[in-house]
Amino acid sequence: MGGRDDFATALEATMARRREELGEPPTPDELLAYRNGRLDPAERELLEARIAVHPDAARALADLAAFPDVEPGPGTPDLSEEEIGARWQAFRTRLAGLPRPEPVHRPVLWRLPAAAVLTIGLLTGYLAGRSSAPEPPARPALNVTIAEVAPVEDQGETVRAPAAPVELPPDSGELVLILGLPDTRKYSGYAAEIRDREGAPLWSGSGLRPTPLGTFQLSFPSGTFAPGTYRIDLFGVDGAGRKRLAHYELRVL
Amino acid sequence: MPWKFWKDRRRPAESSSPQPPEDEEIRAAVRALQGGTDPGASELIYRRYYRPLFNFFSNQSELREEADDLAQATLLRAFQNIRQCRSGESFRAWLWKIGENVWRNAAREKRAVKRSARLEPLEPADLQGVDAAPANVADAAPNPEQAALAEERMKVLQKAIARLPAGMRLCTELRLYQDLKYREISDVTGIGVNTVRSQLFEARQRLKPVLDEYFQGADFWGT
Repeated sequence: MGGRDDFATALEATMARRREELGEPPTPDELLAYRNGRLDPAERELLEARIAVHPDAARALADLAAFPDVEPGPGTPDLSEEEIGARWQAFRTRLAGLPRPEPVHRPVLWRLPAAAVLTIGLLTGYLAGRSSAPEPPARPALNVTIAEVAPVEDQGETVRAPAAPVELPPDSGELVLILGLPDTRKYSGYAAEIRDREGAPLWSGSGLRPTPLGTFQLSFPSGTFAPGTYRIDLFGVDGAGRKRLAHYELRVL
Repeated sequence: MPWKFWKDRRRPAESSSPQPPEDEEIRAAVRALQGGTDPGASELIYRRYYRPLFNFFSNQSELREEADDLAQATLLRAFQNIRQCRSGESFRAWLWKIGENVWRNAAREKRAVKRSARLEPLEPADLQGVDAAPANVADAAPNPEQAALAEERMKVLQKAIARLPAGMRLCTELRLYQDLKYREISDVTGIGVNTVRSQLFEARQRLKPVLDEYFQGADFWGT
């Protein structure tokens, strides 16, 4: 007959045994799929068994639910405002070194009547035979759409990620794709290929370099992509050989 | 005890409460940054969201050392792409989407490093002295009878837990293995706190015969 200590020992042993049986802790993709209800009942039950014996996985789910009220767990320092202030100063220097994002131009209601008044004024002036000053040359404007695309397959392990729908507004001039880098191994070069749904090649490029944030950025004129689904393959290149690192799915609306 | 990891976690309330709406201050800061001005807007956002991002990454033990870098990377990417945050969209949710990608990539990187480390063969020098077992190991080991009894208790407990229905089993395992509170179990499983409470009450009834027989019937669940 055992008591409290034996119960604790039995629990510890049970958890250790289950952890051994169930293998590696769940990945972020698995946890996010669980949280977003994208698992079938069998997958869900198996994942729940792994969550139960991996405290980090349970912790991540609880923190996700609580965000932004995420509390420091054991081992995580409780940062003071002063400490965060000091980190902000360092971050600000880093931020200042980056190009500033282009401002967003939102439609403003007063612009329409103002434009009408201006048009009438100009028209009246023209009709009165007045000479007007030459118009300044039109400033080129480029409206850029940026899309982050998650890998669908990583090193042969299928990662379920839905195709990221990208909406290209009619005035969009350029589409910038940001591809997450799935493999940490460094290659001397990187290449990518884009094919349409039927597998016909649309674009290919080599000599790509990852950004300091560990992503690849590919930029295209928006007209490159008609609405539809595209497959992007990313390759690591070493010498004459190349290895497919991941593929991405791009859905253009 | 390893399942007591969350012992000190504090929660203000047990009842379920929806997330508060994003405050106007943050929305104004986002609009200012999108408009190309930054009268303290980026600092306000940083100070509001650095801590939760840092805590999230640091709470993942394998990412603890890089938690600062990962929180900074998330915010940096947000500031760089601030135009993508559409008007009416929650900045918090949008920011967390970026955080998810940073989390995914960092975890993949960690696993790839772990996998490659496992494949490295041991050098003969690494094995020197391996067969020289510490002298006191035999003294600390339980005798065969104790070990057999402990093994039996473990198997009985494991079987009893395995017989619980899936949802009830998860609540029970989170409570017993990880010592989570009702609110924390609710956050993990996505079911309401009251349902968690009733699931655990039911599980307790079902496990009682095993606890009575093998662990003196004492109630070790706590509340």
